[in-house]
Amino acid sequence: MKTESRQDDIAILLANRTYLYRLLQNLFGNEPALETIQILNNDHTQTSLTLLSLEDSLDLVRDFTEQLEKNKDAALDEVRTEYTRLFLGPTKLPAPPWESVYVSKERLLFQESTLEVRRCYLKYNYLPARYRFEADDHLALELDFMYNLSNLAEAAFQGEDLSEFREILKDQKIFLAEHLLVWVPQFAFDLESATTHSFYRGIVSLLKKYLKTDIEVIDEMLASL
Amino acid sequence: MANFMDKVNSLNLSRRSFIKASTAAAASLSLVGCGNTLKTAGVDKAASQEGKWITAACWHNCGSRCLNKAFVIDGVVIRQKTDDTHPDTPDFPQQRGCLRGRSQRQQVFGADRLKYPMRRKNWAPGGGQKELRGKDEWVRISWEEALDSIAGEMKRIKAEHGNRAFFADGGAVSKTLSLYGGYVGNWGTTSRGSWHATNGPIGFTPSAVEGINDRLDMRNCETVIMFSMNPAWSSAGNPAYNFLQVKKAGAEFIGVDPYFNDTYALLDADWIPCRPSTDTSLLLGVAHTLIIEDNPITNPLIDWEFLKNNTIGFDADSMPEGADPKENFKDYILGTYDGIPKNAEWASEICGVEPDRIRYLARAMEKNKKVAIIFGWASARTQNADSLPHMVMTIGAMTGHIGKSGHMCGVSCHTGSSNGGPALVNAGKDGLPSVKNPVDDSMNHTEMWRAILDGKYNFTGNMQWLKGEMRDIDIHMIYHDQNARLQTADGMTKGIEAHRKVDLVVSHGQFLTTNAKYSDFVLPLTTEWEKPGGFLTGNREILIMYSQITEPMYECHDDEWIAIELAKRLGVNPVKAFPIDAVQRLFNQIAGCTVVLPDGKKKAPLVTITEADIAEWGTKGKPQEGQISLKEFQEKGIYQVERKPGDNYGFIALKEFRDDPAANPRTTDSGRLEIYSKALADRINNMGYSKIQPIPTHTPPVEGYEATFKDWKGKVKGDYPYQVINPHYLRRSHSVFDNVQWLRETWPNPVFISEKDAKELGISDGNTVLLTSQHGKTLRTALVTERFMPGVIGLPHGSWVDMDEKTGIDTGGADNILCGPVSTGQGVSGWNSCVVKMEKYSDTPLIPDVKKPQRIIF
Repeated sequence: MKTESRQDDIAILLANRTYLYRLLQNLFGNEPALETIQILNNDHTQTSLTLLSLEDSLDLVRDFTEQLEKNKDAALDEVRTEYTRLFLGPTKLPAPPWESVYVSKERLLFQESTLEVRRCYLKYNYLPARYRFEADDHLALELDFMYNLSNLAEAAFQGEDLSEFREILKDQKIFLAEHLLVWVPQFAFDLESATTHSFYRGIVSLLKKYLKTDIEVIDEMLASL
Repeated sequence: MANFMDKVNSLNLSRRSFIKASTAAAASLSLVGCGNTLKTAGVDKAASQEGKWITAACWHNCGSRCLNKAFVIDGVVIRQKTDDTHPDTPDFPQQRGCLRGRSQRQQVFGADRLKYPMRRKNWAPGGGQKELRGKDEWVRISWEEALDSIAGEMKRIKAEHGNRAFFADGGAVSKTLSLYGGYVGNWGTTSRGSWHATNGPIGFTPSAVEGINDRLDMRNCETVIMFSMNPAWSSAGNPAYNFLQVKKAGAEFIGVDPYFNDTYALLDADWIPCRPSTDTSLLLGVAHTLIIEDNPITNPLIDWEFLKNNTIGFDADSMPEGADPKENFKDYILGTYDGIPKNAEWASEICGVEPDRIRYLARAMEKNKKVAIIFGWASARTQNADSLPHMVMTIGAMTGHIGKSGHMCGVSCHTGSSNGGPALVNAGKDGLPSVKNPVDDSMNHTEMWRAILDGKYNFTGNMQWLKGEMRDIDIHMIYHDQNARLQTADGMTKGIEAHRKVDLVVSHGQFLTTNAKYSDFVLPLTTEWEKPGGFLTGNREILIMYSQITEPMYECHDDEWIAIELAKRLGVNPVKAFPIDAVQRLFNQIAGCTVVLPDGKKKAPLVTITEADIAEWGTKGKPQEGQISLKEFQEKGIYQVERKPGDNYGFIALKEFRDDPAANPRTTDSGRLEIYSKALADRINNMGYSKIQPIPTHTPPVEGYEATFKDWKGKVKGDYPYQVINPHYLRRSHSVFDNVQWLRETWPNPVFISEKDAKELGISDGNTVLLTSQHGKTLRTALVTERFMPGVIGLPHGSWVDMDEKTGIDTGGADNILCGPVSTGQGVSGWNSCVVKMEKYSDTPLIPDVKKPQRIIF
């Protein structure tokens, strides 16, 4: 009974990771859409975060959601303009969302560190959809990599290929430790200093907490096998 | 360790339904947005991890040409290097890059590159809230939407106001506009100042290519006299090194300038501080000393033989027919008829050089010494400077430092700095047709912004120097497809106003440049590193062929693609302007490259091209024999003609004319150098801006030294007591590179203030200083120095404006906020003639440019 329950627990945690990486990828990789914000506020997301004791991390986002309910068009327009200012330009980006900017300490894309990220992707036969035109180490691309590997980990687990499963989890842990967690804290700090918008302060705070939590989730799963 | 599994258990979740819900939620997110995702890599995408060196463009208008190479792995530049294609010697030097070229990847891969087409948020057809240009927020749009909106507005403007409502720069989109019925162009004297319209009518040489001898011959000089030139900054690369060889060969240097710059320091030049925009008066004083001290036997200063054989108008005997003999140059200098001798004392009052130093300068030019009298363009970038090149020619003719080995007089500037003579190696033509603009209107830079605001301007043709004709003009669109006009043309304050007046403003850009900032639509542009390749020339001994380094960043396209897409939407045929693609054009240029053979005369094809090369390139062409194979040329990236003393590649400017003027006449009526030039006076005076004499005289600039006084005779200073000059600065090439962090860190862009002026105003190093002219206000951090003469302030050229909308003060140190739209003579952009008030603004420095945060407007 215990074994079966542990299997179920792991399966749930795995599905949860896949979902949350997709959610974060979407939030940082796209202009905000009403549907995304609705999904962010729905019961499933609430449960998903409660599972990791992160249910409070969306408090700021809820402030924004209240505004949105009062005046949908204005609030959406405002958050989209903020996304543009923070992540697209054309004015100087306050927190450029690329790893190379933080690792190299230069405001530059397509650096040696970008190649290292590319090599991580290539091990699993992935490349950015706009490979060579867009830098590989954009936050949302790195989160998409984590999403894809989470998916593969789920499949390996369901297919009872434990060695594959372990390998993927270890690689995810390495990618977190050597990439995302190396730069996201500074990125988050810069972003929080540059925006007063509750939505972006909210999701960047969720991002920071979630990445740290996921390392613990991976460790717990690896230890339980 | 946290216990998430227990948590899962405690929540009593169903594995099946939770997984189902998670999958469904993830899937619905994928439907909402799919930006920034990965794809499965194909086999062919497993790119090589091996790197290779590729010749990279360094394509800016910096006055230099150097070899730049990038070590590239799978589109990523790991490092850069410069010329190591052969050992470095003074005769056959490597073409080494400067700090800007070595920072090139900081520009190409900058995180702040424009990545997507953007539209000003409050734009609407017709312009929307036009006053928000420069302070509005932005919206990312698709190329489709951008091009449709722009073309839609162009159609509306044409229908309502005609083609004369379009104002454009002359780049690729301007070709499309020409096919669409034309546009109003613009022109200006830009860097060269009055070295544009003056030289032709008087028979003088226009540029360094024809004006001075080659660099090996310059080593024969005993004295080199430099006026307003700083190749160490303005022509980085080899020119300063070439001058150093002249120094090592024994020459003495004299530098005449308001600023003791790095070139003079390098060459240990004897500095003669001279006020900005007063060189003509100084040289008039020099001419006076030459005339009164010359004695053909005991003190031969003047080359009478050259004056007699090769010039007209020096004295009453040599005046052209129809001219009043009393109007000759010599009698003007002596004051024979006006009672005012233009002696050293007279000149000193204007130019600020001590009379004894003026006489010293004159004596240093004596005819029997081997002397180079060479000029940068800076002193001619002043209002009312139309007589300056004329005066330079006159001094060169009087002292005979023209047309002989070790003797030269003229411009030594930009890519020809230190090394005169025609190019020894050239690229071929690309084969693109030119497209005629059916509209002949073209507005001079000094009045174009005013014209857009006021609705009229003085038409003199596009650098045709025609008789002036006032025309009405009603501009509704400003299209920046090529230049940094708003940042780099005179009178930016008016320029910003003009940009807020019209219906539509569009800019192509690699960054949010000043043009782009005040636009409705900003279209992201590729750099040369993202294009198939091209050629760079300048220095006569080299030709650089560069290749593509990386793919276009994000959604960037080149100017031509945008021009073609707009043409399709405007219903004109883009093939008329762009019949061949970029690769074929590059191939045409390769096939057409020529090199001068060692006999110094015959030109031959440079590149050997085989059938296999043509097949590999997929282009049209014929095989040919040359000096270097295409592969080797591309791999090396440079072809350099090796120079040796005594070779056949030397050049003595105007030698044939000097030796036999009858057989080799200049293009003037007399065939000679015309010290009295009716043609010049007619040209300038007809244009309608201001008047000059047929002989060179000093005309006070509108905002020159004289304008710093409210009572010139009583020497009482006025409201704007200081003169400002805009030295070209190593952080930038004009306005390009200004946002590169490495360069901002190394070159902080202060304002240079003389020790004496700083003391009088209580200004110390590191204070913030406010400069106010009649045209605008700007702030900079003070650098107090003895290298600027008192009364003169140095504000480096090209720093990007950063307007504080609340105070109306620019915090970026933009030169053109201070410089006004003042039209004189031949329509010179007179940046180095500007007068200001200076005051301490704060005891603390401004935030350094390198640390400037993003300006949050709302």
